[in-house]
Amino acid sequence: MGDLWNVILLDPLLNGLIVISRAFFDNFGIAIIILTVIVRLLTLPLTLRQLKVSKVMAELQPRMKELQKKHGKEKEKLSSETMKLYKEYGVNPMGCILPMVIQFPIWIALYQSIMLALAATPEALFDLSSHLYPWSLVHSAVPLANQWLWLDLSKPDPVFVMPVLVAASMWVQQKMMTIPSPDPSQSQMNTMMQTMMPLMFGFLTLSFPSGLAIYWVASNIIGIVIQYFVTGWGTLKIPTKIPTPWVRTPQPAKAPAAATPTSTPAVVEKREQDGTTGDKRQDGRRSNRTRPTTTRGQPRPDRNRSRKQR
Amino acid sequence: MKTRHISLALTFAIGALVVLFAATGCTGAPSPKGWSGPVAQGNTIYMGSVKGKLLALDPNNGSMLWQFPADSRTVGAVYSSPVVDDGVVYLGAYDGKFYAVDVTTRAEKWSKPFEARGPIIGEAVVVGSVVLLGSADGNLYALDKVTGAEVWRFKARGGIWGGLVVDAGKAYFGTLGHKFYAVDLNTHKPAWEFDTKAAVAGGALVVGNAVYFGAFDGNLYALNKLTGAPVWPEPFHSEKWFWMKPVSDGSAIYVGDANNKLYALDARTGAPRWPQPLAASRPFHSAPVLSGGFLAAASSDGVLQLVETATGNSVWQFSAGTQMLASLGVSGDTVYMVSQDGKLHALNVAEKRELWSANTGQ
Repeated sequence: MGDLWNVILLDPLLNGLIVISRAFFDNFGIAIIILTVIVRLLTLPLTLRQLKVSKVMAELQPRMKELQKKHGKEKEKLSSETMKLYKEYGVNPMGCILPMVIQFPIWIALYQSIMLALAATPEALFDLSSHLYPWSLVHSAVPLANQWLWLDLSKPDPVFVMPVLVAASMWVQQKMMTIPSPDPSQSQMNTMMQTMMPLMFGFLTLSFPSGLAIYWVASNIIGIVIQYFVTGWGTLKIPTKIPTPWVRTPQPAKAPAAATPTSTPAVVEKREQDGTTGDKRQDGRRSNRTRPTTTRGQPRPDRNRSRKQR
Repeated sequence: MKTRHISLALTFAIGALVVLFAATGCTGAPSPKGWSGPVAQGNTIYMGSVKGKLLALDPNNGSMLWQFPADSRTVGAVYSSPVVDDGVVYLGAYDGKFYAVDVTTRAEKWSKPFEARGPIIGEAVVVGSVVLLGSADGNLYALDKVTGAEVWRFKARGGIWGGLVVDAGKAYFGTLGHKFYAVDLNTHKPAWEFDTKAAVAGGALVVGNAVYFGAFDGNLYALNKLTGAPVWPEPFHSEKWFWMKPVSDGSAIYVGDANNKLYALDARTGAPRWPQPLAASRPFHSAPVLSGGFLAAASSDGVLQLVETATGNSVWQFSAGTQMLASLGVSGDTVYMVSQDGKLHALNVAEKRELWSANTGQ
């Protein structure tokens, strides 16, 4: 099992990291960032799928709450109605867990490859030998140059900048990811997670090699960018001048949606019958399906104003 | 309910992360442990322990005679084997401190240890009135062996990890900066230097007019010790790197690589002597020893093989049961090997049996 892990995941990432480092003038810090970007791009379809399912789930919250109110005492009925709702919107309840589970081994292998390549001790450098491909380019690059900016990448950051960056970037990402919950206990749990996770990783960074901290910061920033383009700023409060590409402003529904009658404003447009959760249109443009259907066709004041200006 | 579902997913994510961190041993910056090999000198075996002590042991049963520091202090991780000269044991530590311990008083000979700017990993060597040591800071230091004061230093390109070898007024060593040097001990300048294609982390060996050393480029080089010119038409090449210091019986060079193979090469031509190299299941790192017409070589999984030097046939195996990276020690027919758990084994190669073992890691 260990050998399989090494052959399929760890060794390719490790040797790739060393090759990138060599290609960028033995700059290991840059190599970590580049490999993190590559891995995040390769796993982007999975990440997008996960985020989109999460988004739909969030949008279904009012409907779920209604169902709970209606069938709360009948577990079986509630379950079947829930499943019906999922089917109606083409959502697989495992849809946000599965991509995460698939990505985990890749993240762990990336993490391990960085730790191995750093070779912080003579023992670690010795261990590295069994993972290297018989390429002269790779062999001539080790041990890698661990100095980058003010950091010795094999040691914790002495001036504590990296722990702060790790914690801050993780907090932003967590804040954007969190789906507001009408349930107070759930909301409290979310708040705790938003605080604890960044603090925990910030604390870990105090004792981990700073090369790993670079990976965490890079990974978080990429995650923030992806999250922004899929769900917007989420629960993160951003000054209004910064545009959010996707997020609707909650508005009271003037009329129930035709397909799914409800009195709540957060109703989403019914997904295509093929069950996909993507946002594709025939014309290739993004549909603003997160806007309540009842607002469609109504004149937008800003649009009218701009036309007049022209 | 769905919010709970998503939170469950997040909880699962955190839980899995914690479990995987623990399972993969990713629990912080790794700490150095050391791999100091045993050195038999007179009626004592000296070695650096995995607990950061200089140990003096009884060669008859491995019991401890004395240790330095005698109190609860340690010298930290030790990778180099001790060097014994004129009643003084010299030992370099990974924290850059270099100690001289008087075997009679069992106390420090110098007023304070010498401090290099980087870790000391390779063995020192005593030449006349000076002790030469290399450091990962890239300096070759020459210290007054009586006072420990720095007499001179030579700055090399790249850290010095391997042990030093001195022959005919020159110190030979390689660096992680893809260089191999022959430094003249009179002028304190390189008599010659040689560019390798990768780091040189192991020690060198001088036999006759040649100096032999392996590098991370998978090459075992043989250079003229006076000029630095290659002796063999081509370096001997392996698929993976050489870290081990080679040994020789005068006509053949024995060296193991990270590709789990150990070779016997003709010292003059570099041609393989055995029909096929000795195979192991893990890389070779510990420097082997010659004893009683046999070569004793241990792979990093702690398996020692006793090999006929003429044929390359393995005639006996002994397993320490755990990882082994320290150099082997030898005294007559007895070979000493210390595993990474701190267990010291004494093996009689003539009788092909273990004499005793002692736990030095406690």
